[in-house]
Amino acid sequence: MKAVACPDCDLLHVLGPQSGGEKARCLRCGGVLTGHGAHSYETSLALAIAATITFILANTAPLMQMSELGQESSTTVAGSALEMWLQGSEPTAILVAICSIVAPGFYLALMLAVLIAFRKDRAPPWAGRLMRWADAIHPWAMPEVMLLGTLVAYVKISELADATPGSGMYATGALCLLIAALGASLNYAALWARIKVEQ
Amino acid sequence: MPASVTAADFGLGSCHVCGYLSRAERPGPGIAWPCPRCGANVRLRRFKSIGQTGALLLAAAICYLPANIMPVLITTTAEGTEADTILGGVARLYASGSWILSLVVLIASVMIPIGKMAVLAYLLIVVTQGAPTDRRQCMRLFRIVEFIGRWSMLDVFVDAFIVALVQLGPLMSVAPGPGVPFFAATAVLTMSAAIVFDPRLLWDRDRVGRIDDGL
Repeated sequence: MKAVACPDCDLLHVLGPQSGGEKARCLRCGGVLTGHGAHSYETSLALAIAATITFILANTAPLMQMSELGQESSTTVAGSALEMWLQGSEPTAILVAICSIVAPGFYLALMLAVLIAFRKDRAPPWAGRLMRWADAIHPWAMPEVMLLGTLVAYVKISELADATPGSGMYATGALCLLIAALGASLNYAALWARIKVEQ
Repeated sequence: MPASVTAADFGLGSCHVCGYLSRAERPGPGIAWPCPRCGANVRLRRFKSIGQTGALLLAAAICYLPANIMPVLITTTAEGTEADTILGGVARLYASGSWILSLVVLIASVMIPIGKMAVLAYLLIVVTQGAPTDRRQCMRLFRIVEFIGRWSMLDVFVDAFIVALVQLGPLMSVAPGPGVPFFAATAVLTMSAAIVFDPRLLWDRDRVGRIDDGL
């Protein structure tokens, strides 16, 4: 039995033991009190490793190629941020780089480190700090928005010239699925409970 | 309905990152202390949440106007130069036959930003004026805003990829228009406004002794 406050409305609840896959919700506002991921750490770790490999692919392989009258061009994620910068739209370039490269990259690196650290029953205290950073960075990692962006851009460019989707686009699609699966497989409350607090 | 006893009633702050309940060493209004488990700054309520949300929201609304009036893409071909605004881009996409994608862009670039700003403004009114309303419904609105907020970034990505790819020298090239940074700013500011808004303030009207956000 332990006391938990609802993160959304602060109502106090006393929770009994839960089995894996169960989700506790706030009586007053319906906020989620504890996570529900029922998978083992090995599953989460495997997903994190797969997502990291896919992330590297998605960022190095070309997203799209285009050709028009014998001229060809292709771009990667970083290439599009760079081009935005060169064209004089620096704030947008930085934002694109953060949301599509920096934030997902840091998030995956932090989750990998956290999951490796949490393989022991008693996690080292620095694991908590890494989880906190991952939590702060998570809202800004948006590969799924980027993927839809590439699809819309692809359709728009097809109007102007011959365009073909590159392997980077497929890798981004896989990355979205893997990051979503990673998030769903984690039971944050159980992870946090492994960090012992010095009284 | 059980008695509404909150963590704050016991002087306990729940960590916004890890959920750990802890107590201030020296309690007082607006006091912050480090979470014993994860080290985040814990307060009974997020510091100056109402003022910060309001300021970010106002800034987002101001940026949204030039974002829609100024062009986001400037296309140069042998025939001349054409400038497209966000709505112009939606119309072009619709005219080219992909009405589903044009609807997606319309929802992400127009409906989501406006909806986000309207919902957050309404929630601020509910918190500050105590308007009679179903707060479970308010929470539902807030969760939707948190969940879909990121999709308003869509057009920024579309513009970046088009600009990066369509660079064929004098034949055809696309440059970002002055509207792009304003549109990006609207997306970032509304997302930040949703992050700094503390939904627990919606429920504090029930309390005998109200907690404010330190403002």
